Amino acid sequence: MRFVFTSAVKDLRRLRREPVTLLTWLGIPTFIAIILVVIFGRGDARPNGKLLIVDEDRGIGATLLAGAFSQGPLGNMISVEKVELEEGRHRVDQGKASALLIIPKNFTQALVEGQAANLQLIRNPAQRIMPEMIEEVLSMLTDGAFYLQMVAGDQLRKSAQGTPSDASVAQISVQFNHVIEDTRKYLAPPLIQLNTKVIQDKTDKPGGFAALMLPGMLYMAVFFIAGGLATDVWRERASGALRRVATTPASFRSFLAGKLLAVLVVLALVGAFGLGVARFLADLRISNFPLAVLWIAVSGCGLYLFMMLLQSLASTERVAHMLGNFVLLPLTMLGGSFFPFDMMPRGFAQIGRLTPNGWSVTQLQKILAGVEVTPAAFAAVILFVAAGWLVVGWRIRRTAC
Amino acid sequence: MLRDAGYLAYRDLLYLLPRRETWMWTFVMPIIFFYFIGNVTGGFGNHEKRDPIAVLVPADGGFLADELIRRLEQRNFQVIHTVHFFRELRIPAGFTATVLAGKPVQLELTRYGAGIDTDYDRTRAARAVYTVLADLVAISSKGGTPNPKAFAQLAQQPRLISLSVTSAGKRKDPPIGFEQAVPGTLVMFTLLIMFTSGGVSLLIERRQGILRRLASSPMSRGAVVLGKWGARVTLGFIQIAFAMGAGKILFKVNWGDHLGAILLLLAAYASLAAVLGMLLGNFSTSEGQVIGLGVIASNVMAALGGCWWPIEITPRWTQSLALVFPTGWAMDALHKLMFFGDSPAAVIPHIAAFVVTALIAGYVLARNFRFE
Repeated sequence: MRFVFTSAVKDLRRLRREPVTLLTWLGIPTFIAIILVVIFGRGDARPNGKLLIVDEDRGIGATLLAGAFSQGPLGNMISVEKVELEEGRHRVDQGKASALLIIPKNFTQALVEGQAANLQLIRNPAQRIMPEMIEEVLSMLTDGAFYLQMVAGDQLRKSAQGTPSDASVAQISVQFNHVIEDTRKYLAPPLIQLNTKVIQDKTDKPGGFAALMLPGMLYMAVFFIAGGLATDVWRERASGALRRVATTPASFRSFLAGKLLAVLVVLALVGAFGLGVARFLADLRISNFPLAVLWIAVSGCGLYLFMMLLQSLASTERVAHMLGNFVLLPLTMLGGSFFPFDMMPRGFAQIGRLTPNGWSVTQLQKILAGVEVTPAAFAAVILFVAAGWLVVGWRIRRTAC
Repeated sequence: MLRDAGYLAYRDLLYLLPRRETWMWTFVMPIIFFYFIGNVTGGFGNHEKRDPIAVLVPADGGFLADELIRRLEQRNFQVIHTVHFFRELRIPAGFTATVLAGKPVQLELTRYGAGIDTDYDRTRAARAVYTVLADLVAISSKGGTPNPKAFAQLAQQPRLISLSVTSAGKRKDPPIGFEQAVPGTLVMFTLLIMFTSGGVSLLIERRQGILRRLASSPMSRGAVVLGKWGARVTLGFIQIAFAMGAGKILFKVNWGDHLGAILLLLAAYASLAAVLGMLLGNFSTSEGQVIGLGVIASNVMAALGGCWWPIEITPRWTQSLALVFPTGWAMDALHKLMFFGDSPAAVIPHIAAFVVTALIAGYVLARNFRFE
């Protein structure tokens, strides 16, 4: 037992002599949290775009069309700017707007009198979300124009004819009133209503996009740190430390247990720091801080042993490094570190949750959300660590000299 | 000096190329990255892929239920009839009869998970539902009887106010699906590999005494730096060229009409990334530092440069900030060439920026190169 602590203290002291390394590791989740919060704030990620409008009509129809983009949530996402045709084309061709809408001359007249008119929408091909939204809204508005013509077309045409007399105005008003009365039974309230029920996963948490990304990103940091710590075995081998351990009465498993203890301390520190930063900056909800830190540390040890096993299978340090990255990067991608599982296609998310790091992220999200984590989950990670310790200890012993 | 550098680069490549790990990184990893990230981020706005929606229709749903299904399919949904699906629309019993009797009916859309995709689903489903209602109003206002024939006749009516959609720039067909995601993935992947692998390999060589032995050789410092850079950047070129080929063949990415300009641009970008990776390896004292700083730097630059997510979901000031980073320059240039179909002359400033920055960074590296 004494050798275990000695080994752990040795590793921690070596790490203390490399403060830049430790600060860098602490910096990974910090920088990522800062970036996410600076970019997205504490809310959801919402698109921002600009719609340029060339109004060749200069009538009320064009004003209504432009006004549709300034209302409600759309108004927060899309800024509308009226421009001349040449300027608009130039700007959208340079990618400086999400889309350019050209409202033709006599659009209002066409709308009222039931004539043909074509709206032109020129989309920015480098953007996906905003042009799609703008096109969808315009498409809905053209639907609206069609139905307006179907229901009240005659009345609109009459109202547009010259300067109506008092009698004409009265007649048109009565006709509009009849239209309203006839449609009231369908529309007030709507005869067919759509209710939307959005079922959020229990692990969905407030804090917006940044908080959604952070647990996975924290595990990316943990995985990279575990990988970096695992490469330390090459330095130990090159310096002859492993050979010296082989000549002592202490077992390699004790030596490895000491390294594991040091890794536990480091990952607990990184986990605590990362969660603290996430809570402070991104308003990440943490129901049980100590348990979350413990989970990160213990599951991180499992990842460390996994990376150690890969290191022990390689013939040279260079091969080990390549092999480590070859395994680490796909696992971090699939395991919810690049993108949260909510954003992935369902098949990918299902596979990702089965990876060691993905499974750990899922359990961490449960802990953060206050959902009870089953004892089986804890048992599984402890068993994994124990099995890894035995196997890796055996491998290091074989390849020590 | 050039001969020495060329010889060193050649020997390094001879050492690296036959290795299995090189083959993995050059030929396997790009495909994995493209496939994964393309699937995650390339879906929005992709009309080739329909979104499945489970529509639960009772036996007596009636013709209005059929109309609704038709509208959903027009809104790029693929209607299926599975229960407990994550995107589900439930039509109540006697739907058509109830509506035609003038009684209100509620349809329920159940969606698991919140976010922008859910909002989009809700908008499309609402449009499908309310156009059915609008058709009902339109038919009734003309004194007609709502039935399948009346709906079909109404659908045949010309839409006088129409919307024509085109794409900006010179490219005729706008990019979709993987074409949207692959350029950003390629830019990020190149940077990540050059930073981590490129930096760590230099550190390992220093630790193993390889650089010390080179320092005792007749080769100049500049030749050593150039040679090491040459090997890394050549490998980067091979990787980029293969990735572009794989993108074209496997993921149907259309690289546009200016393939030569794209290759030149990415070569210049890889050159800069290689130098920056070597700088990282040069000044770091452990693999942990290289990996940590490499991960931070590459993630920050990829995120802020617009490689990770559609740039339009970030605030406007970050969209401008993207142009501070090499990743932002690369993305801007690729958008110009691939998405807008601009001429190669449009990316000369970007290539010049990469080359100049690489030269400055290379000078700093050569002056401060650590052999031990």
